[in-house]
Amino acid sequence: MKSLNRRNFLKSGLAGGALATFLGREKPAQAREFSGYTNKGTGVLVDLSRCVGCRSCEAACNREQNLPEPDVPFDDFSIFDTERHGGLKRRTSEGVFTVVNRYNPEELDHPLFRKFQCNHCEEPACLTSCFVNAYTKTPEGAVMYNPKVCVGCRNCMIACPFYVPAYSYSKPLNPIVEKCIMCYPTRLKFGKPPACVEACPTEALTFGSRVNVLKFAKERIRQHPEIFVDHVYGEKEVGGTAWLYISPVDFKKIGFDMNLGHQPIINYVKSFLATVPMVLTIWPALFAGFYRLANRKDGLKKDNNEGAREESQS
Amino acid sequence: MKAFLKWFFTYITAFFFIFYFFQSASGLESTPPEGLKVDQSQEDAPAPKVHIHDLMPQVVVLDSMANLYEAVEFDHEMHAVEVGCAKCHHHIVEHTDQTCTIHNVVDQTNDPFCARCHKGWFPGSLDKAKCKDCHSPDRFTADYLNKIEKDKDIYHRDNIGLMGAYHNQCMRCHVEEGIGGCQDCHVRTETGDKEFRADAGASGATKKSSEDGH
Amino acid sequence: MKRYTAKGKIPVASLTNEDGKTRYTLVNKLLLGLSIREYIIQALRNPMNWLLGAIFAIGIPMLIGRFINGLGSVTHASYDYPWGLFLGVGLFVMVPMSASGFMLGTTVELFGRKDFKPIERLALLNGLLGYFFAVVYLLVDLGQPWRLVYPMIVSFGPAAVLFLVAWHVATYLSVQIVELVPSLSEWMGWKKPQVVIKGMILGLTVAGIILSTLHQGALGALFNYAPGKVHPLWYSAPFLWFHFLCSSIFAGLSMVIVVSTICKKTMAWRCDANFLDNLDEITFGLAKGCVMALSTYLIIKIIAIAHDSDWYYLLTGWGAWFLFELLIGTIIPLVLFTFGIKNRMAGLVRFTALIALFGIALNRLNTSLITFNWKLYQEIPHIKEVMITITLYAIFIATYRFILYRLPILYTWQSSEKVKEEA
Ligand code: SF4
Ligand code: SF4
Ligand code: SF4
Repeated sequence: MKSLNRRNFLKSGLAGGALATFLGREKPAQAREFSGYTNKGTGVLVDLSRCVGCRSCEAACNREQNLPEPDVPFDDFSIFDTERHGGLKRRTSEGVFTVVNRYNPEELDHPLFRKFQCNHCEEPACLTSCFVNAYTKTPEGAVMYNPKVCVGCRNCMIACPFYVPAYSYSKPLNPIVEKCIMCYPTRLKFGKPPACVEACPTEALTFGSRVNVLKFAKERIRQHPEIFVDHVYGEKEVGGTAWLYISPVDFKKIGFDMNLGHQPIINYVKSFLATVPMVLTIWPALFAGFYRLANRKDGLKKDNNEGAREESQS
Repeated sequence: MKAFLKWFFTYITAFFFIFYFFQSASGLESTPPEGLKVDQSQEDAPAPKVHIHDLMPQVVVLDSMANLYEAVEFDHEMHAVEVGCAKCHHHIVEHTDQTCTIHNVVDQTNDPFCARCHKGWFPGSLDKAKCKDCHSPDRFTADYLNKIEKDKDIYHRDNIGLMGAYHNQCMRCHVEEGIGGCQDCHVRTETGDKEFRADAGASGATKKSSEDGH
Repeated sequence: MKRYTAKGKIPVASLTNEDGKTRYTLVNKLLLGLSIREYIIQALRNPMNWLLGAIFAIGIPMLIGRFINGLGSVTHASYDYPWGLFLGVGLFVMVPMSASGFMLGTTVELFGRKDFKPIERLALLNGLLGYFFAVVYLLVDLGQPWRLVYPMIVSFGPAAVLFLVAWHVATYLSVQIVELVPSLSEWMGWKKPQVVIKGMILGLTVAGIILSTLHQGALGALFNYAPGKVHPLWYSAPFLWFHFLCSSIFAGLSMVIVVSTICKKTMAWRCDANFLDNLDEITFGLAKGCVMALSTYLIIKIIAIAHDSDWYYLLTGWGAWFLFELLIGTIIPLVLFTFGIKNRMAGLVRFTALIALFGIALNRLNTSLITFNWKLYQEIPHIKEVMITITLYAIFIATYRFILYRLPILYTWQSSEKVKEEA
């Protein structure tokens, strides 16, 4: 997988930089352009025009992932009126891996529902930001999290552009990050669709290889320009995500962030990462040089105003 | 057994009629190469005497979600009479006078996209009036997925599955009529209650698992 | 303590007492040469101790509560603001203010500016304690603090910025401890370590520069991961790390100015003439460093806006806030420092350093908390979170003071010749 190679490249770049310091030798800098993804792995297409807000997916997820009892039953639709701090709609949280929110865009005479969970990015920000490598992207496309090594710094929550990972703050002893894992251990691994996909009565969720569901998305838009806006959310956003969305109204109006850009998040950090080997290799020589220079001056001046402490130390 | 025999004979009869009409139509028309005809043939052909309502199922039992919901006995006839065939069977043309025939079921399509290729013709026969011939009940099984991923000969890869097809058709009207809740049609089983955590929050303990600290 | 020194009690500043025969015991040293009774009386007389005591009385139980009941009991447990005050203050404000160690280490050891020598140890101690308490804050904030060493030994995520921070802060902390071992060994009367470290000092200093450059920058780069969350005026993918690095320079220097002022004002008995007499001159020297860093910082701040074409945002409310920060934290200090140095007004320079510190704290909090999630809502920290943050800072101050009272940081240890003779 190309994206994996890329991560390895970054790693080896840093490791190489560190090594170079020890060896005192500089490695030639190499810049490799990132040229798209291989699109292996599975994906899910969320067709917002089909979702009826029945919350079956939430129920199925709760069962499949053994999540704790929800505040209200999954057939209680008053939950759509919940407002969080700042008038925000519900989000994923500890014990809730997926939520369905209701929106009322003015151009439609009926509400629109939006299911939302981890998007299983092709180049996940959570993964690249984790300093103990707790995240992995499986070949099937799921972004997995390993609670055994997580230290709890919550950098992944800072990094995730979709505000997905949640932290179980309430646990004093082993708080962990909780998020959708695309049902990998129980289903995806065996080629089965995620539980929420299977439970969706209207097939608002379509499971398949990411390449295929992306084609479906485009085909549906092509066939029904009167229904859909011409955009597949997740095709390119932050480098592409395994979960894709098509919508009858402007994505902005139903809570999607349209300003994320097409770069994977790690690209924003690259300019800094690139300086690391540079500093590691150039600084020692540079400052050793300064030292020589300064001391030469010292020697010439035969420094006579050395402090008392200097004597005391010698 | 009796019911089975009844259906069996109905279908046999239906097959016979279709066969007959195709035969006679092509015979009369010196077969245009595309094999597409329709209106003209309708006028020319002797009007069928068997009403479609006599041939279709009266009740369809839907039990694919039997673990969560008890099987639904879908009153097919009532829906056909009340709303007409084409409302759901989207590949046919509606006859407002309620005299549509088997002939119409397979002959025409009112879906502009389908019509581009399928105008006046649908593969097979009356069988194709059945939802599951296009909409697989096993949409997300490994077999089906593999087939649409690998088999290059399949043209329609994004056919919605059976459950999805039903719900998309039903919900369109049901929501409008205000009977759009799951349990307006489905009686939930005990497993279903458990799945939906019907007792959640009843204990009165206030938790904040679905919200953050605010 | 002032009263005792006035009465002729001389605080411990050598290995042996005045007559040069009997060695001070450890207890003597810890009690500053006072009897227990005298020590307690002077401690009770100090209003600062009462304030600290009050803070501890409220804060320590909360701190313990955090470990018993989990983070959720003392914070809002926000998923949108995973990093609250603990890191906002403890990591992002503490670390730049602790940049002093490497700054002065470089100046004195590498550039051979011996005139800064009297303050070098204070700067090193400031660095060490700042980093140490940054780690303490981190331990309070981490979900599973006992796994702190995981990135070092169990599982590596070397492409992550935080990985760099972890390694560098850990290494740098060790470097700083080593750099301060001489003070401790003088105080304890050990001989060996001083010689060993004397030989390592150049290597240590260079290591300090490298590590500091990288992790000060890395703290900024941590926010590079959140392009959509930090407000564009504060966010700049190519420049953010440089902003953090550059501003840490004047933050560290200003911190030394402020701390040395406090020492001079409240602990004059502990400072020796070498320190007190040179302080004004040193302060001007440090301020000159600040001016250079500040002007660079101002320029790259503006370049960053130009580079991303964020001019439009300056007209919004956030823009006003940004300009306020720039004014308070950069432009005003720049002007006042320059003015103060020109007219040799040490008092003004000291006051300006305080403003600069405020500015830098504001900048870090703006990046990590205030403008973070600017599209969502403003997080107001939980009262307990605020309390614990203050408590930890109070512990920081208490430790700082404890060490300053005792180790030869502000004064020169007097009996090293004797030690040499004995050896
Ligand atoms: S959506 Fe967030 S949590 Fe999920 S893979 Fe992407 S960055 Fe990670
Ligand atoms: S994929 Fe699995 S874990 Fe993720 S939301 Fe769906 S059911 Fe939950
Ligand atoms: S199960 Fe399907 S239709 Fe129901 S809320 Fe979820 S996505 Fe929407």
